Amino acid sequence: MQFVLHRAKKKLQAIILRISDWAIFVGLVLIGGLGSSYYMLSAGNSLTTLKVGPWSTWKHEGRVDADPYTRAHFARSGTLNLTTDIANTYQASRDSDGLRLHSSCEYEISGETLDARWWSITALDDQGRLIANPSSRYTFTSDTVAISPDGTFTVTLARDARPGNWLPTAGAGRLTLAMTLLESDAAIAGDTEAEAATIVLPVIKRVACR
Amino acid sequence: MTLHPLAERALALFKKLASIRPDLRLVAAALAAMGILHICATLAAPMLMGRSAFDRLSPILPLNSVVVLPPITPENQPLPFLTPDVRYAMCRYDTAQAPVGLSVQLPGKGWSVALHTPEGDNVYAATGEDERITSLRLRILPSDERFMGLTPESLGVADTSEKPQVVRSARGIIVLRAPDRGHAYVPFTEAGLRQFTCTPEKPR
Repeated sequence: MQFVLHRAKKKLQAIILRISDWAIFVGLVLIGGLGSSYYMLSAGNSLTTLKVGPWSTWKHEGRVDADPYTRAHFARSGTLNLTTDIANTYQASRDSDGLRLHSSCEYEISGETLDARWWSITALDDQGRLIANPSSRYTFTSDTVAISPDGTFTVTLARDARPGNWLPTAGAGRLTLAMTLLESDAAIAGDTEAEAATIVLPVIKRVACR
Repeated sequence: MTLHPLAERALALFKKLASIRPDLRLVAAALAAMGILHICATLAAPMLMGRSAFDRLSPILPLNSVVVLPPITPENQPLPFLTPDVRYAMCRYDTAQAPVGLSVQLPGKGWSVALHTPEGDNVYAATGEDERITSLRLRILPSDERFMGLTPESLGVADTSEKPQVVRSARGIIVLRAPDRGHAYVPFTEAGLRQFTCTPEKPR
C-alpha cells in the first residue's frame, strides 16, 4: 500500500513539474507578446513616433497608409486627428528635464514664434480631458497668444492666476500638453531623427512646486 | 576580497542561472509564439479596444446633415483630446443610398476640412489660405462599384455645371475646423461654420 502511494506521489510530482514548465512557458509568451504590443501601442518607437525634446508625435497619424501600431494607438485613444499631410499634433507629459508634468507645479512654456501657418497649445489632464477652471481658459493659439516684441512667447501653466499667457491647471493632477501645428514645413518633413533635430518646439521649464 | 552579502547572493544566483542550459528549441518556440501573439494583438487592437471616435460621435450626429458643435468645454467634450482651440462643424455621411455632396468655404488660415473614415483615416483634407476664401465642392461616392444613376450626357443633356472633386468613401465623418481667434471673431467663425452643407444627392 505504501509503495503504491509512493508511486502515485512521484507520478503527481512529475505531472505538476511538467504543468509548471508549460505554465512558465505560456506565462512568458503572454507577457512578452502582449506586453511588447502594449508598449508599442502606448509609447511607440523611433519607427512610429518622433520625439522633439519633451514633445512627441505619431509620424503617420490619420494617414490612409498608417502602420498597424499607429492605427491601434488612435483606435485605443478614440481621438479624431488630422493627417500628418497637413498637421502635426504633439503631446508632452514631461517637462524638458524629463520630470512628469503635475498641477502642483508651475511651468513656463517658452519659445519663438513657431514655423507653422497656425498653431495652438492646450492644457489637459492625463486622460485628455479639459481642466475646468473659473476663467474658462484652456488653450492659446497663434492668434490669441501675446507675443513679445522680440518674437518670443511664454505660456505659464499654474494653479493660480499669473500675468500674461496663463493656462490654469487647477487640481488636475498629472497634466498633458497638446500642441497642434497646421501646415508646418519642418513638422511635416520631420520623419527621421536627423530631420527632427531641425524642428524647434517650445521648452517646458519647471519654475516651482508646492 | 570579501563581497557584500547581497552581492554574494546575487553572484550565486547568477552562477546558478548560468549553469542552466536552456533547451534552444524551447527558447525558439517561445520567441516565435511571442512574435505571433504580438502581431495578432496589434492587428486585433482596433477591433477590441473600446469605442472609436466614430462610434462615440455617431449618437450625436444625424446622418448626412451638418451639426455645428457648441464651443468645447470640460462639460461638453465628446472626445478625449478634442481641444477648444478650434470650433467644429461635423457631418456623419453614408453613401449607401446616394452620393453625398459637400460644399464648404475655408475663409482663412487655420481653417481645415477633413474626411475621417470610421477607422480614423483622413481620406481627404484641405486647409484655408491666408487672406483668401477657398471654396470647395466635393462629391463623396461609395468605394465599391455601383450604379448611381445616369449622367446628364447619357440623357442627352449637356452638363454645364462645375464638376466637384470626387472622393470615394462608404461612410465616415466630415469635420470642418475653424480656429479660435478670440471673442471678437465669434460671429465670423459661426457664420463660416453655418455655410457648410452636406446633403445626399438625388438620383437623376
